[in-house]
Amino acid sequence: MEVISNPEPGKLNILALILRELFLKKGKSINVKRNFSVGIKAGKMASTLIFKEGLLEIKNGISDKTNCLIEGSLGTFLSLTSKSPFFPFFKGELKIRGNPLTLLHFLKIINSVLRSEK
Amino acid sequence: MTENEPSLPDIVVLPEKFEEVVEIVKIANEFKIPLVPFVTGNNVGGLTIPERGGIVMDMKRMKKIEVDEEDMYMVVEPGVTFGELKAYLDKNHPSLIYSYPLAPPYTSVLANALLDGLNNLSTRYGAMSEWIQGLEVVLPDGTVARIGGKAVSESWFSRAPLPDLCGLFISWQGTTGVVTKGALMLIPALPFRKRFLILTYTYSSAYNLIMKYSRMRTFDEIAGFSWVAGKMFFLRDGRIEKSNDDPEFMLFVEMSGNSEEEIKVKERLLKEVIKDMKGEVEEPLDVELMVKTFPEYSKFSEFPTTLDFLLDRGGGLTWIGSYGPGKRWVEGAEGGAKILKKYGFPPLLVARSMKEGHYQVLRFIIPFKRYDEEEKKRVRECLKSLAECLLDKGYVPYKMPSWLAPIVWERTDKGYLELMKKIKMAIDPYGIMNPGKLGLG
Repeated sequence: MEVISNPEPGKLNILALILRELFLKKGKSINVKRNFSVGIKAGKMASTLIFKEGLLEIKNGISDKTNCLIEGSLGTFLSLTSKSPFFPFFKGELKIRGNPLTLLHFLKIINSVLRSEK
Repeated sequence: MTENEPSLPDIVVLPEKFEEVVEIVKIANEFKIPLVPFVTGNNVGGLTIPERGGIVMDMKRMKKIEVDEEDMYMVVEPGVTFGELKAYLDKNHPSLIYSYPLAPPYTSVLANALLDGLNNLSTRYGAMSEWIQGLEVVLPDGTVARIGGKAVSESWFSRAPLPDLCGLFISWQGTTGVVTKGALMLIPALPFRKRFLILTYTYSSAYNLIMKYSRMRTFDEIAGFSWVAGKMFFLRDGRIEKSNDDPEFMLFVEMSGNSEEEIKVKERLLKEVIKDMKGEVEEPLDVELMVKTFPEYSKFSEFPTTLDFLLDRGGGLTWIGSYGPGKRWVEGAEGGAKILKKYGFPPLLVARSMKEGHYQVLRFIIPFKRYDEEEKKRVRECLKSLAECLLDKGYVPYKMPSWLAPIVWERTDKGYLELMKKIKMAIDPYGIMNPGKLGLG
């Protein structure tokens, strides 16, 4: 999956930069066929991931048209790598708003990215 | 690496034995030849640049380490580097540890202590000179002196209780003699350790947190970077800018303990403090989790800590570091950040709470294009401006480069300066030792 950032990477906030790094390093072999967007809010920082036609666009802030929004701490978000991806949601450490089916799809992607070696 | 002008020596000598050092020093003194003690030459202030030529005495072959497990100290020669020491202790004395700097593993352990460096355990113990328990020195006339308990005893157990002469060689930048051995404190290694990263949104909230944690006397390390380091880590090249919702500061807190339960209690205490700071501070992030996701992040979690990614931006790196009062830390941090921006550099700042919050570190780092003369000129002007700002806030530069000494002495107590000059004159009347440094002739 190709990753593009808007604005240029140097202007992305740290959350967006971490997500970009994650997908650049570990998301190469992942193919996403559906088009959707997810907003992620970690504390005060926010970014949007837009999956469109096999591309991933990363932006600062939450776009109006996101299909779902995930909210929690950066630590909890990264902890998806070591636990079941649903666990933080059940515990209330990550909150979701919007379409739950999009969330499921996104969790599947993020789980393979976080567990991927490259 | 540094912006300081290079200069060549007339000769380089590489002694291996103490006796060879004594002979070299005697020859330099007899023929009044400048003598510059050198180990790895990585000090960004250019403290080992032979400004007036002469002899560079490269001590990298002097690598002996002896450890006294019972009294918990080691005696090291100048050539021992942090990487070598870590490997040696891990292999031979795993029950003991030393304190490590934010510096490459090939830097000298003894030089770091003699220059009052700041290491990961400085939050508990202060600047690294506080770890010195005794020194073996060769004075410019060839006199050899052993200072500390060792002056009388067979052991280097402490600097006390004789009149403490170690200070004649600490932060003097090799201008009073050549140190051939240093006895340095070691501390017990505790089996459990954990590191957290905490993002804060203002310098003020970073400082409040630093002081709260310092006064709890619970954590081994309380230090941090401005947002710039985080972004440079994740983006190796290109211009970086702070986004509106970016945190201003990334704080590192490290804890160690005798059991997992002790770590859990400390972790709970760590988190309790920030409950009242919601909106200003993010929840602590376990560094282990970061490392698991991004293995390169281990650079921040392992010792010696290397920040080589800062060199990716043109190969040049310099900084001005200072120690000073906590009450003016925020002003200093904000003032320095403004100056860096004014000169077109990102506001890269390092902080550390020293000696359980008794004083603080303000260190501004500038990565720059090494072969761009215009940029180097801008770096020098910026450093001067930062120095004035730090001094205005009551902060005193450590490892000060030659160009900075006159600026500092301008504001220094006259009696103190007079005493320094008298000591220098008494010990090194021909001015052969690392001439030009500290503005001492």
